[in-house]
Amino acid sequence: MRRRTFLLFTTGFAVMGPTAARDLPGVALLPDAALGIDDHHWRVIDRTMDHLFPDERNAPGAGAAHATAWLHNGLRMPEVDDAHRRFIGEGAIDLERLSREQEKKSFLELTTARREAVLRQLELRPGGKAWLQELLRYILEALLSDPVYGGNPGGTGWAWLEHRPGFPRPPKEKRYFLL
Amino acid sequence: MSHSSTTDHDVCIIGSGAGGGPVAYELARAGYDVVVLEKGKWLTEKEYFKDEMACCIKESYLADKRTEPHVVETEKGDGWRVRKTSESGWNLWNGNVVGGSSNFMSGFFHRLKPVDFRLLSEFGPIDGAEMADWPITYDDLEPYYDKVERIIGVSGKVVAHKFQEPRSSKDFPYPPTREHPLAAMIDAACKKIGTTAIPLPRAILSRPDHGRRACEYSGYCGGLGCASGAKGSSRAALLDRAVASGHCTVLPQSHVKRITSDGSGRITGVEYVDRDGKARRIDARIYVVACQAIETARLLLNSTGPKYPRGLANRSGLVGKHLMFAGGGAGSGRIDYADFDERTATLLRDNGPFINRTIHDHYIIDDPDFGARAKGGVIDFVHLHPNPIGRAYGRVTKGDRLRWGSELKRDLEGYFRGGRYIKIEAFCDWLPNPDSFVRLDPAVRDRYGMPVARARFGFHVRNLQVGWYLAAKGAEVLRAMGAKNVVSFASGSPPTNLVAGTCRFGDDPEKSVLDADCRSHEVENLYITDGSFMPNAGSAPFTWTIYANAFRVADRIIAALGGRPDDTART
Repeated sequence: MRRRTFLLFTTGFAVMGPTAARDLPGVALLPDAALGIDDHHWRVIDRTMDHLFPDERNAPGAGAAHATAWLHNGLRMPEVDDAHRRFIGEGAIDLERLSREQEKKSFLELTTARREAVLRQLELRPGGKAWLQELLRYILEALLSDPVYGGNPGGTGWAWLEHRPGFPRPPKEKRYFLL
Repeated sequence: MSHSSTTDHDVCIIGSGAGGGPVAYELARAGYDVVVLEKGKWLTEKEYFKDEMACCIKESYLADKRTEPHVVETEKGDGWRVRKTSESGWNLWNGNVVGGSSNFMSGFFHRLKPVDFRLLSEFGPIDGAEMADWPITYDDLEPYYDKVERIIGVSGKVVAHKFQEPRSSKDFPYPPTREHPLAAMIDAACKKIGTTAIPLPRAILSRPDHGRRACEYSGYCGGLGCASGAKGSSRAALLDRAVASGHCTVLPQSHVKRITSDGSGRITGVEYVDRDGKARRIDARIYVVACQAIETARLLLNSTGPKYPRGLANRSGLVGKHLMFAGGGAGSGRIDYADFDERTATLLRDNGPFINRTIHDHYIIDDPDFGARAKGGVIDFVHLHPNPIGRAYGRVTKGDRLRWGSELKRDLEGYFRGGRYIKIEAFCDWLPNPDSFVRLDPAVRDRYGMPVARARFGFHVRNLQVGWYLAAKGAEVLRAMGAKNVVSFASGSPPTNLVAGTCRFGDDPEKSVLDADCRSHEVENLYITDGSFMPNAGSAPFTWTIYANAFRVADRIIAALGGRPDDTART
């Protein structure tokens, strides 16, 4: 993907906000089919992120940080290789399969307690811990990076943790992929 | 100055960091025609922001290790585990931009001490270590340490103590940078336990000078480029002024593949790939290599010629040997805001000012509890890097399991809001040893088709002994000041941002690559001015020494080229 395309996408995301998404919270445009993750598994990822880092009244979570959109946009970046994209997609497939095996239901239909149980089982499986850890990394990036990148809206993550950003902060035209 | 010559330039410098910058600065200001080849982009203060995504998550200032990897060998049982950096967490690039990694240093500046120049004579041989005295003394280098204070800009305050290095000027030219309240707390704790903390000099301007602004105390310094120009990077302090002289050309995004030589052994030119991907060639009367120790060794080894079948300047077979890092230990402790009144807690929360304290009392360890008298090192007290993504991600793992949900969120709240961590950085010699070296990888090539460097990271057990000792001394201070969760440790894992050795200097061509002037024993027109020359790297961060030595060698190159005209502009 060319950098300009990504720029437009993130700008659109930042301006339009989650209300313009189809039904994936935080995603401003339709998921990119080229990433190889279908809508259902995007929802599995979205639900997983919500569970790993839930929104709370006084503490922003994955939803408030637009973490699913962050992950989606991040996977579209040219520096990300296909193996990593596959890893993220296959992790969602494995989770959904595990849920259907263990709980006889889609992960999307589980209660909070059963989601926790399935995710803890996934953590013990080969590759499961690494997948969950990657999702947590994306969540924390979305929550604590400079808002110029489209996450951490209004600096909500920084405010929550009473973190003072440095200065000068990056303007749009000096984001890392434009240097 | 005009020189009759058929070459493109008087001097060609490969690498623009702390080793290359002083040579460019001095030669250009003496009127010689200098070209600097730098593989990275030319970013200025206008491109450096406090952006964790750019500096640290995406590593935007480093070469892409997928197309320009290194290969590392780390200890595994009785053998060595071999991995490409692109398939591991290692990254041996430190700053591929004009000014090199000096753009991203914290600027904790220490001189080496006289004893560092004669470790073998002073302490005798150590089993398993390949020690050697330097062919120069501290007194030879002192005028250049002094020069660095003025030209790069070092701020600090001289305080008498038993290991104070001899100085030709009374105090630093710039007063200390602003101090965080933790500095006074460390002073008080040291007094309580009978040790002495002294101000830690910084390569940071505390007042504007040389067209650079003073530090603006943004709280984001080490690991990030400086937006004010206060940090004494090779670019801000030297190259900008070298270019302004009208005698220096910097060619960014110019990757040098190899250096060519003829049957007589003289270098004939440099082959490089320019920003458009075109193969280019350039020549000069004198060549200076300063790509950092690992890449410098790789370039020489890749530069075979009729007289150099084992690589340029490598008749001794020592190019790539004696790879060193800054050995040592580390630790941390936490000051809880709840233990202080509100006003003090507010001051403690301030990110901007620096701690700037160091202990030199243990530079030589003369302690029966440790063993025989031995070389020790310095203990620095510094802020934790503030980058929130990296810090938060460090909380995700707890033992073998992951933290998430409210467990992780409550932990982050306590970690970020409840207190401030003080970090101990203890430095000792990384003893040169037979299992720490660089060679060419037999199979892996970079995007330019050249073999990549393969580095083995073997460490000497003495590193761990001294590192543990020093880190524990630092931990005593933290405990005395009331810090909680105090830990200290040492590790054989190398800090790859501080790298030296691989082209040791000395008087004997059979035992060294370079002579006392850092000129190759066998290649008449080749000098090496990064940290490669060091037989040992001192017990402190050594960037100041690289700068100082490069200024010293610049004087030798000027002499070799015919001297400095009387009307040369001086600092």
